[in-house]
Amino acid sequence: MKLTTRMTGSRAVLRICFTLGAALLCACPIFAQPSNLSPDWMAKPIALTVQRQSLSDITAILSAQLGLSIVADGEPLTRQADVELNGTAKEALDRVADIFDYTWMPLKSGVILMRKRFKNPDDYPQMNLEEMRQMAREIVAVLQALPFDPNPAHENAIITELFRSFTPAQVLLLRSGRVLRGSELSVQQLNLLQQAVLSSYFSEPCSAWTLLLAQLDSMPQSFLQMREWPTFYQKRMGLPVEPVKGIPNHWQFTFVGKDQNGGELITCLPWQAPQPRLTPKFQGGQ
Amino acid sequence: MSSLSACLNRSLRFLIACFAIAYIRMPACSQPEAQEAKLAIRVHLRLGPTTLEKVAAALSQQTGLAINAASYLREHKLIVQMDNLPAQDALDALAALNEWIWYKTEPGHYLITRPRVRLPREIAEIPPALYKAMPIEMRRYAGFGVSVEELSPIADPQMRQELEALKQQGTYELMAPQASVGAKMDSLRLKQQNLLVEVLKPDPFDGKITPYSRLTPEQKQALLIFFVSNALESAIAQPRSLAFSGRLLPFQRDIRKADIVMTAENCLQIGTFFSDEQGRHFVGFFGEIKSDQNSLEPIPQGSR
Repeated sequence: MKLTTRMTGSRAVLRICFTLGAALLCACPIFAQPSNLSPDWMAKPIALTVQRQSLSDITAILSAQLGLSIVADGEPLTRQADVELNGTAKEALDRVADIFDYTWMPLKSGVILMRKRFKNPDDYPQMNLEEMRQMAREIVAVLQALPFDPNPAHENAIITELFRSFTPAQVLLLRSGRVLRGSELSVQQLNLLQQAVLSSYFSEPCSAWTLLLAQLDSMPQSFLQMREWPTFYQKRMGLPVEPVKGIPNHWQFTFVGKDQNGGELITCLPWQAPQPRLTPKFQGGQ
Repeated sequence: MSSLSACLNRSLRFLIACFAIAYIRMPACSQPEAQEAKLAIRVHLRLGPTTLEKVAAALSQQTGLAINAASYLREHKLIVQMDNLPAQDALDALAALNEWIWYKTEPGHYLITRPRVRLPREIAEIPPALYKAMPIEMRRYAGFGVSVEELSPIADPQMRQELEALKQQGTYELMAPQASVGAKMDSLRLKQQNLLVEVLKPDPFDGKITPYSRLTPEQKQALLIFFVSNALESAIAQPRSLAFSGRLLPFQRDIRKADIVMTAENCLQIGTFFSDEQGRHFVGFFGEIKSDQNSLEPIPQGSR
């Protein structure tokens, strides 16, 4: 009975707070903003006949006919298009967006937003060095916020450590084919399990985005060079230890930036040397 | 009792958030200060293809305010055909387009920027933070939050056939984005490679270096695209892409819900088992137990 009262009471508190909050937000101009769009604006007739026009030109015409503003992101892969249409505003926007591989949505303020759709496999997002650096910086910060071993080569080592932390009874249970639940683990084991989950899901992205950040940070001071590299390395724990002997080296197009310590940050670009292969004149590289 | 206090706590937090939002929005919208009133000036921005820096400059010029873009957004390209609308609406539209925000930094000064990403304190907070850290355009390209129907069609008939087969197993929705996005990334990288290989033409085997500063804008772009798409590839690979899509499996949200099984003598499977009409399935990951002496016997606790 007491429980029911408490539940009812808490619901009432929640309801009051929600109403108060909603009223407060509605009083705030951003949420109370009246729509500048007439209810039937999408049905407005549009006549559009253009030849070899860009998205910018076509949106200028559409914007004038609709009496609405249009803002589109990036630049379309399709530079120019022919459009011939007698239809409604919605049909015109649908057609233009489809031709240039965009989607569109109206804002209450009467501005039409056009975003890239990327249905065309040849299209890709705009990439500006500084914006990409910012993205990489933020993603790395997120991936490094929780402490874990970010080396993908150590994933199995963490699993092994988790297994070694199991009691003989837990091992027996596992070996009998039964399920060991996370809820049955000790605090120490749960901690190892968390490390295993983090490592398994985030170590590779963490390495990849940390490398990207280092590459982008050092890009303005970087250079490209053809370098001689051992074809195969012997690896331990996923890391190269020494070249495999008896196999000729190969020449690899290489990006050379700077790492955090001022050393070389090397990325081998997977591109073949031009054919026919020329005889190297120098013995540089590593 | 704890339920009531939790409820009160939640309610209070909600109210505080509402007050905070109202407080942040109010000054820019309704303070009668002359500077703020300039946000209501109607602007005419028939700029066509432009950059955010130029849009901000035009807005500043027409309103008399100092409107700037964050330094890393200045080169961001847009097509702007905005006419006769309040500067505030123009700023709202620019921000809505790319999930940016704009705010007053000091009287008469405004900044357009990306919202700050809150760093996660537990695993469950990683996916939403990753999702926010990636620009909306990049997310759409990588297929995060995009329905399978909206993805680019897969050209390779063999891959299409393999994906069709996955429909029977119920994993089509999970694997289709990786296949579709992976294929277009491969093709993108190949194109950028052709651009960069031009650098190699003047006898590259003489040991000379080609400084980045000597690359053409297209070659610089090709290098950038190559590196970014490599990192993106790590994000789209299953099962990690779930996290970048802003989602997590139940056991990832709460590791106490994880099921652990031993599938072979040296393999641990960690994840969640679920059953449907097609049988019992597992989602999660597995790892190999390494042994120094070919023994899988755990070291008894206390001796480690």
